[in-house]
Amino acid sequence: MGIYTQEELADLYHRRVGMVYQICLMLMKNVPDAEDACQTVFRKVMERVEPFRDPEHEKAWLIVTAQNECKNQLKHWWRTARAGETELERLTWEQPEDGEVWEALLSLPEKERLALYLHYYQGYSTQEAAAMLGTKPATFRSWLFRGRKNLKTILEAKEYGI
Amino acid sequence: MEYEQLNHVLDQVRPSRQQEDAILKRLLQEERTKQKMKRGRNLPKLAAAALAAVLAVTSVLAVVTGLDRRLLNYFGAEPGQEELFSPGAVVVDKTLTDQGTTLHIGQVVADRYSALVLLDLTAPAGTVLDGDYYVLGDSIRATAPDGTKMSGWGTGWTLLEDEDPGDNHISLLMRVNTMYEDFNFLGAKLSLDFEGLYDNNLEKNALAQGRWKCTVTLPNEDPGRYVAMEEPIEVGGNQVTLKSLYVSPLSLTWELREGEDDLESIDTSATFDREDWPETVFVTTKGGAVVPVEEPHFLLTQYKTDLLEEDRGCYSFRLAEITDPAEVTAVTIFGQTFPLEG
Repeated sequence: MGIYTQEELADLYHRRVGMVYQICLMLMKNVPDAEDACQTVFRKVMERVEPFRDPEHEKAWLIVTAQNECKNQLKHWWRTARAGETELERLTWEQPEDGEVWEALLSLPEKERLALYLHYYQGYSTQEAAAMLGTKPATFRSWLFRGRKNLKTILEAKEYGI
Repeated sequence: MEYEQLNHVLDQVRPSRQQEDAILKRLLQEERTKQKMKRGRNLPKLAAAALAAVLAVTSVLAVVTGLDRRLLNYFGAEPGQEELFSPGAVVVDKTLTDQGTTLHIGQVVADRYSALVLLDLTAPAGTVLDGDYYVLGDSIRATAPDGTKMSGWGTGWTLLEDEDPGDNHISLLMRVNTMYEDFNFLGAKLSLDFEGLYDNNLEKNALAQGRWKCTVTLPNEDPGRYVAMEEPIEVGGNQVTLKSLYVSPLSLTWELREGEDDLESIDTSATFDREDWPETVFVTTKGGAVVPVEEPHFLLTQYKTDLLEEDRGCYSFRLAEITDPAEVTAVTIFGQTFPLEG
């Protein structure tokens, strides 16, 4: 049913898998579930019957699909039987404090996590990111504001051993 | 905090090359499996010529069971065989109209692995539907009485004989197959969500626009006979395990698991790309009659992944003749015969 050949799909996959995986890991919080969600996102690419309009459309579609897929999986009953958060121990960090930042990021509510990622890491403006997530720019800005504030609070608390 | 630090952390949260390759491998493996499954969608719409004569007596409701004659004709039912389908049959009789196109959902006949839905579509006046293949854009969901959702499915479309092949009306038979054993259709809620009529599986260039949705509750009663097995079987020179056999008036289905060998070691041409199915796969009845398989419904092999502990295979066919499951004494697969108890 899909429109992509295996070669085209592999190209697209290698171009975008890093981003899709980051989003999935940030939302699922464990490696096996992130891999699973990531695979499902690209399966949905295979099932597309229309090509992406341009690279930006492709990127935005993957972000939204990854977010939706993770939401679906988090609601799915059998996830309880899957790997737990200890799987995150498989991640290795260049410096120990990097792991602390990551843990702090994961402890934020999902919307704040995603807002920080899209704005600071992917470089989307608040208008662009809000449109992508189907919300108002003001709402997105409030997620961003709260995310920044909460992240700072958590990291300061860690610094002072609280 | 500096957001460069956050970005530096995120830079490190990328899949390793090994992970990337593993996910891609699973994805492409999944695609290969799907392609095999989709083949069913393109199967010939029955032996059309042979069927045409039978279908001339069309649209008459069967007296005994209320089943539409077209459904019975599709299976080549003879008088007295209607009742074999009754446990799995349900009358829907729902008419939906959107953007000038009307879809009538007539009846559904189901077993554990398949549900056949009889549809009549009337496009806006002036539309000529005289092709030999049509599909509706479909999104199918199903939920079993215990809440289990159908996770993998495929559809096959058959254009039924029409009194006036040049008009704006067509009759279609859609077959939905569930691919995974953790779900079956018995007692399930089947949600049909159709969008657009097409003459190709790519669903390009809609011939009629519209969206038609309907939910059907399928009967609980199993029209077939399911037998759990744990028998060694040789497939393509590999020793694997026959896990179950299922015979119904709609299908013959069996499941394979790993044995001494895994399923991945089987040469796919031995399982999929063969034309001698009827000679090697058949059922034997109490009277000694042999009923071979006809077209495959689906042939699905899943290889083990991080999430799947062992290889699984599920293979489903239509039998060449309607067969009473209670009359079947043995099933032969690749020349090896498995007697059915009771």
